[in-house]
Amino acid sequence: MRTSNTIKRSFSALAVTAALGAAALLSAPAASAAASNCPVKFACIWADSGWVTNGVGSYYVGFQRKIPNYARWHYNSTSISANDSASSLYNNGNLSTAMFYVNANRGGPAISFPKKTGSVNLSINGVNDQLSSGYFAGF
Amino acid sequence: MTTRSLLLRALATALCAAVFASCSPSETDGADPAPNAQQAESWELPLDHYGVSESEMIGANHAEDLLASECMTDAGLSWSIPAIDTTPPRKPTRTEGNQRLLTEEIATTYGYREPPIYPEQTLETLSELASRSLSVSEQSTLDKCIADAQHTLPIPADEMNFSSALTMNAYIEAGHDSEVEQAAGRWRECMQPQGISDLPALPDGGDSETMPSASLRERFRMDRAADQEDEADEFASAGAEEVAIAVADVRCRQSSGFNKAFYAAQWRLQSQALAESVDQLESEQKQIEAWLAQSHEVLAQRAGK
Repeated sequence: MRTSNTIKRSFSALAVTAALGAAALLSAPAASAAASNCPVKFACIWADSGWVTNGVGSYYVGFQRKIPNYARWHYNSTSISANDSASSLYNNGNLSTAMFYVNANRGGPAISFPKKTGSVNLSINGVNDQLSSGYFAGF
Repeated sequence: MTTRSLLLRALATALCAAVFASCSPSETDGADPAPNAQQAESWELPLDHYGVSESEMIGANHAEDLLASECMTDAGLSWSIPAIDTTPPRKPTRTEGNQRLLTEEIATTYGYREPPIYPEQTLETLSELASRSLSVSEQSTLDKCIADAQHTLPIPADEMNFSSALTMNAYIEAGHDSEVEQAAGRWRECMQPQGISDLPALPDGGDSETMPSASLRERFRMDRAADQEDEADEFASAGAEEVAIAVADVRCRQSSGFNKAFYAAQWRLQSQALAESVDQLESEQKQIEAWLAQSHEVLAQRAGK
């Protein structure tokens, strides 16, 4: 979730480098209890790190093929917009790699997560609060 | 060292000269860090050669799927993976770094849309498999088979997203470059005759709305709220109105100097990122290439079966 003290728009490759050095230990090759709130066959985002939104694992936004514009979606049971607010994600699909783009409609660069992998904290990946659309590769 | 690695080393050395004046002459002789016209035309950027392309991702994912399928068969369950092109060509609407490319030719052919990467029949088959309902027991077996496949072909998940994060941040930050913002102002003036009510501040870049705007996506039926229901719309042909606006958009990006400024800003920021992180990028790329090579081996072993 975007907060005033965590948003940092200025680009710093070194900051990303340093953060990703730690990330190697934190990505999720296997679903934890929290990530498994994302239904099978879906790829999900949450507004906070740790695969939760407001502390609740079931408050996610998920897609089975794609969401071209997260601005049209709110996290389950909340009024929090899913646009530019994802802080963790998980691909619980059975088949494809999930790709998350910085702008709507596949706009801008993407980060990719093969099936059954995710990020418990997108700050560590250097892309917190930046995702606006999500697709399974090929769809 | 692979050809790709040699090319990367040469580029990194050149960029070292551009960013750090302290690089020794022997490291930088003859290197020109500025993009040439051909690179600029194809929107080639310094970090393009790192990470995993969508085509490579599809091939590696297919290798993993085949292993999982064999495991399911061994368990007495059917999880048949359809044959696909494991090295599909890059979409004409994408740069090598997987950014959207919008030229006048692309705008005329596709409007703001992109062609699907798979043929329609393959897409339907994959879609059916991806959404297949499995019993708890079957899903549990599939999860185990996928885990086993990923143990055989360990995914360098963090490594593949390191360069992506650098690319993404350069893209966003380039949208805040002063020359880019000035050019975007001229682009907006140029686009006024199109009468777009929610014309974005930037046609591309940054982390806010870009083109096509929300009202255009709505008007062209590219962006509906419901998941799954807009498949046909996205891959449908662009209408005449969409093509006309997309072509006008391209021309305004060029005449305003936006494309030139945005490309230059991304080149500069990616060059800086590459110079700062070249050792880590190269080290991680080796892991990625090892994973891709393993995946190719799996595919090759099964190609004749």
